[in-house]
Amino acid sequence: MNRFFFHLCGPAGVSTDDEGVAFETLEDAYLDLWQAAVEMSVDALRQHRDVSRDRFELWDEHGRFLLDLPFSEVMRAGVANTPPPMGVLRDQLNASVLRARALNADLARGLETAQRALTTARAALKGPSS
Amino acid sequence: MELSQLLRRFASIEQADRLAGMVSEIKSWPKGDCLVHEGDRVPAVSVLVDGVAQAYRGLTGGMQQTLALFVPGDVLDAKAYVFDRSSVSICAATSVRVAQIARPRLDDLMDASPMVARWLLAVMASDSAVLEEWAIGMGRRSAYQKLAHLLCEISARMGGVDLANDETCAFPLTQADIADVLGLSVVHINRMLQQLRGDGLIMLRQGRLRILDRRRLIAAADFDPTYLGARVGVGRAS
Repeated sequence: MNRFFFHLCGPAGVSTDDEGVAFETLEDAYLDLWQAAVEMSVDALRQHRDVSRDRFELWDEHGRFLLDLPFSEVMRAGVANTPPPMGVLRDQLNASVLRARALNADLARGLETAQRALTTARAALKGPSS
Repeated sequence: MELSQLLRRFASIEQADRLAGMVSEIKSWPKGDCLVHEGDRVPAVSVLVDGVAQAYRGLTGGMQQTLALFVPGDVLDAKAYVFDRSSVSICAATSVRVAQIARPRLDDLMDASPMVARWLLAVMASDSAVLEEWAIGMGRRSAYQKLAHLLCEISARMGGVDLANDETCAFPLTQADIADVLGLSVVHINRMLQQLRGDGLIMLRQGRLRILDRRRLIAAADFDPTYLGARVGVGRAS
């Protein structure tokens, strides 16, 4: 079993999930999360509360962000009321991985530039070789 | 608590002693084991002596709906005595010990004493009252109220068999178990538990439930324990 954490984010702030819930797979966690968003939207409608700007963030037990699920997305699903297929979830995850890789590459480039600048500065400090 | 003491919730001292004397065997099951499968023949009436068990019906798509929770002194699916086969599966939420009274023995006892039939009738009526309250919850309460109500009920029932003290009781159900009782998703239960905690009403940790503000929890749940009757010492049968 893997532990997943479901933080609830809204205009008023973030309500963090410190306990988490154990699921066999990410897919199980995602399907239950979708169902939770449906149920909570219905509860909110009955209580005349607006949750259209709320969203869930799903994190794994290593503190990695996996995906987010806006309530508006669940409500848009409307009559069919079914979560998008795992393909959509995979696309979101792939996008996260690509974003992380791009950030990594940016960081590596930044480090390389800093190292070059440091080498140049050191050489300048030593003065012209005699 | 001893078996005859547990049985006194629905029977007089004399009846309870007589019923306890008819027990053919006491069986034990570890946590997670299934005592009865849906559709099984039920050759005995079983009374929970120790632990917590739950009755559920499996649904298509791998889901299940919990239909009853049993604490010590409860008869496991009493209606199976009438229907002969169980309409639910019963599994052990904790390790359990169960006293069994073989059906022919109970038949004889019923023929000899209508008071025993009254005992079983009281048990079934009480089960029906709990199910009625759950149906109201399913249909009309918000998730927050449903959960608050369940916590009040479990606390009251545990207290009824001396398993609660100082606002604390054993609470062996996982978030997934609670979801199966209330017909909600696990993530939703996780959220509502945090809300109840955040509102300063409860603490639920390591299998123990602590009620921090009973008055406000009862108000939030709209909980009236009358339906629990003899289970919590109200209207004890004689």
